[in-house]
Amino acid sequence: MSEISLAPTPPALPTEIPVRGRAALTRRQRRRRPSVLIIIAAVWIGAWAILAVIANWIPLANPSHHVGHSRVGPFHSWSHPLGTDALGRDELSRLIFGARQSLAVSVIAAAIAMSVGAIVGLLSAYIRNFMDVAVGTFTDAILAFPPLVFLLAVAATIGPSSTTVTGGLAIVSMPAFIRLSRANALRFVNREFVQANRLMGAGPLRIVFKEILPNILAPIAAYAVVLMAFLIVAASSLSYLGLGVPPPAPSWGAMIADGQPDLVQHPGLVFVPAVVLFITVYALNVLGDAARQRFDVRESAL
Amino acid sequence: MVRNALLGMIIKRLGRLVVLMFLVTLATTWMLNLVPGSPAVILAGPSATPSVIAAINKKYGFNESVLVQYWHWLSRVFHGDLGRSYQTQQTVTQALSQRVPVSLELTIMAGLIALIIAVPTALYTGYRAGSFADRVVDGVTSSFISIPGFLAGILLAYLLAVKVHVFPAIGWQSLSKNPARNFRTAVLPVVSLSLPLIAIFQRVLRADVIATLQQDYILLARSKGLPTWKILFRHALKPSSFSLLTIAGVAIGGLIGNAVIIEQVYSLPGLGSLLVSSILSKDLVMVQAVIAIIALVYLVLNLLVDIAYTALDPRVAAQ
Amino acid sequence: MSAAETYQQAPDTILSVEDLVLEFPVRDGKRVRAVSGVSFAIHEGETLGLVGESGCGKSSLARAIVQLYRPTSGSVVFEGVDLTRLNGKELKQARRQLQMIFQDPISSLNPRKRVIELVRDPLRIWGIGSPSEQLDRSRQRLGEVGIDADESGSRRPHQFSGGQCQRISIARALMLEPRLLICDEPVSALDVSVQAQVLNLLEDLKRRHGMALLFIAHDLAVVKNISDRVAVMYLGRLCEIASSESLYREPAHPYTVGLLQAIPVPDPSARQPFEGRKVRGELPSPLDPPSGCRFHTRCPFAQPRCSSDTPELREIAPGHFVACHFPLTGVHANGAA
Ligand SMILES: Nc1ncnc2c1ncn2[C@@H]1O[C@H](COP(=O)(O)OP(=O)(O)OP(=O)(O)O)[C@@H](O)[C@H]1O
Ligand code: SF4
Ligand SMILES: [Mg+2]
Repeated sequence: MSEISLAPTPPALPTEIPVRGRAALTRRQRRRRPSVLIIIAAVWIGAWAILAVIANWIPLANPSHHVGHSRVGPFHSWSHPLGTDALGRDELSRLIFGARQSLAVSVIAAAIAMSVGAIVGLLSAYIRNFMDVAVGTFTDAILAFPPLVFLLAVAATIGPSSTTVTGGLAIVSMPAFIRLSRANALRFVNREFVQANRLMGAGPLRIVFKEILPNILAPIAAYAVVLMAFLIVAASSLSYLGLGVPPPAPSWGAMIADGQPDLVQHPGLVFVPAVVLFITVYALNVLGDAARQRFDVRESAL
Repeated sequence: MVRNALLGMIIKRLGRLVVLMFLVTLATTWMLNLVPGSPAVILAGPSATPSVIAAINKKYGFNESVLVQYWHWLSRVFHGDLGRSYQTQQTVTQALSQRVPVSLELTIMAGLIALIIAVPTALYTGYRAGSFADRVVDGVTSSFISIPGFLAGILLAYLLAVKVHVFPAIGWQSLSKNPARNFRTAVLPVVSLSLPLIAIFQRVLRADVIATLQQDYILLARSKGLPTWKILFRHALKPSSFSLLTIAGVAIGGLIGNAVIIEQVYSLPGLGSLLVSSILSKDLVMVQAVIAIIALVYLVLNLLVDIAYTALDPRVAAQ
Repeated sequence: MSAAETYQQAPDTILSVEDLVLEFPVRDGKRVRAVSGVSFAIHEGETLGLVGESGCGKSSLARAIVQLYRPTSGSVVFEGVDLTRLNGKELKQARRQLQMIFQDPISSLNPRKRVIELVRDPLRIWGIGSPSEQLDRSRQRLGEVGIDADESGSRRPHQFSGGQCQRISIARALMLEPRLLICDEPVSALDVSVQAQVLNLLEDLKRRHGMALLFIAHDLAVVKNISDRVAVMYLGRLCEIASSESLYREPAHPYTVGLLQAIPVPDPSARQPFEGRKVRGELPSPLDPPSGCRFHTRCPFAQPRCSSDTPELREIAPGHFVACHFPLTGVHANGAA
């Protein structure tokens, strides 16, 4: 699992990547990224996370308000270091509030998908029978849509809003967590320590949450990091299509879409948010790979 | 024995496909009923009189329960009638017949190009794992994977259409009308679509090639003095293709999603842009049909992948 | 049959198993009978050894007794309560003093937990004592099995050897002060030198806590010293039960004899009586067990009758039960030699 990273494709992956031949890979053949890159990635993500959290307290222009001339290029004025967009709104402010939007949507969606998916997968592994069938049908039905198409359908029916986007992203991400958690839990449900616990009088809830869950948390959390990259891309794609968080709230995808008509004269309007988005996704992929690799090593050492 | 297992598996999967299609279309009908605002009002416009609205409701059956509506839709579909767009009055079948070829051409070309580039690259980097070239390729595929589809589209359009006028920035010429011009309009979208696929295919195949190359029969072939390229293509490729097939289904899902966006970037008249425009104009009949078609194509492709996987590896069928 | 009845009536009986059957569903709707009509009893404070080759159904029997696998039929009466009829809360209550130690020491312990927590778990589940009392008792128990809680209580299982893990499992099983402890091959996975230590520990603890033991092993050598009585199992059935003394001195079932011969003996002349009567071949599949006496495909003394009639357990000497049409009493044995 560790040497393959497929981040921004649909999130059905980790359980489907065959393990075949993995053990045969030597250290040299495994992709080992320099730790400097991992540190840079962590710093980049951390910085944006902090900016997103404290955005309200830093002296930024209102991201949705006209603050000056339109389409001022970057680095022309101290008050608007990244310039202004077609409607005269401050680009830096929009970028930071856009980060707040994207990160909030992705983190919340990942958290929902992870907690619900982990629990459902766990119960499905522990209870089997009818639970397994129901859960299998549910995941199959969601996986019958390409994720983006599902998100479009949700946006179409309930109308685009940050809640719909977050909910939609959580639902498309859920099957992967369910499968991952189920597959991992299946390795534990018949272990002797689970049987010993039953004999000691532990009830099903205690066994599922106190005995099995801690054992499957590491791979699930590692996958959540990988998933973040997909979520950021999906959220910005929806915004780009005009089906994400509705305007005037800033988002990276919408900034890029807004700048596109001026691409020839003012490429900065597209390229500044584009570069930030790209580096963010790249950094999340680097961190996701590292997380998975790390977890793999620990698991084999146990 | 093996053949029976394969047949049994195909029948089982076909059954599941049918069940899933029912579920998916029923779910879409149900979801479309959740759309805020009455579809009759959307159709007739805000100034329509109540009697007009009542007539529209009656004509399209908007007042019926979801199950009844679904039943009507389903029975029409079985008569080959997918309905008529609320907006353009064009039949849905007609619209689909114009749009599907464009999307098919894009996605098939993107898939082929991705394979043509990824397979040799993966064989080489798997063979020379850890080398400088391997690391360069890793860096490149990491970027391919990290660049959102719409960004890749915009970037390519900027470089090759705006800066250097090699290809048109937007627009489409159909293949049947003018193949040469079709090619020029298709290049940028197809390349944008293939970037993430190249990365996925290369990574998955590379990992398997490394494992395959350590098998005894490869060592034997090598000791016989066969040239490297021959060993790689003749002996290492096929046994290394399982994982590629496994992730193909997922990759196709990503490809279809990306195609929706890329069609939007380049203003191409495909299924994706039809979906987005019908969603924006609340053309629900169209939305439902497009989603059903996409789900059907996606499920069928996944079924084909599964069959190929089983045919290549009988042990899967036995499980 | 009759044997089990008389045992059950005895006032000091702690566990009586009667006609226990356990089947597993397998592919194509078939079923494997891993345990096929087993009856025996265990008395207060007694150690019963259960021996049979790998795959004969020992673990299945153990798990069916404690209801980890629900038996297909038969009864398991523990302290006067038939466990097979219980569910949920009642079962939890009834099983409290019936604990088990598993074959694989490492996977018996949750890899994510600290040792002290593992041992404390039973008390927490049952809400026995305050947290500090729970910790005290856990430390004390760990000390009893030779693990220093102050030094290594906060380590996790993978930081211990197999023998140490088995000690931790034993400590945990003792927390609820069981009256019957089932040990499923507790030492098979351990090095020979460590085996003896763990066996001594078990015997010591047994004496101190006055509990009964069902001790499972796959060869007679291991159970010889610690068992009061020994039962021999073959392909889901019991062949012979007797006091250790009488079983090792006068084995009556040909299979028992075969197992005894597998024990290396320092003085070759002591092997005498059954030399040349080795049990050959593989254990037949429990999916399709031989008819009549299940041992007849490998039995050196088999007669035509053996493949048609199933031998029942019967008493050939006081307290010595055998399921064989032609048990090797003294005369037979000598004749055979
Ligand atoms: N969960 C199960 N499902 C199906 N068959 C099983 C299951 N558990 C055990 N069996 C079968 O039951 C038979 C007895 O197995 P069991 O584990 O009880 O043997 P054992 O005497 O404990 O062997 P060992 O000494 O190797 O532990 C075997 O044939 C085994 O294949
Ligand atoms: S009944 Fe027959 S086959 Fe079975 S053990 Fe006795 S002599 Fe051997
Ligand atoms: Mg066993």
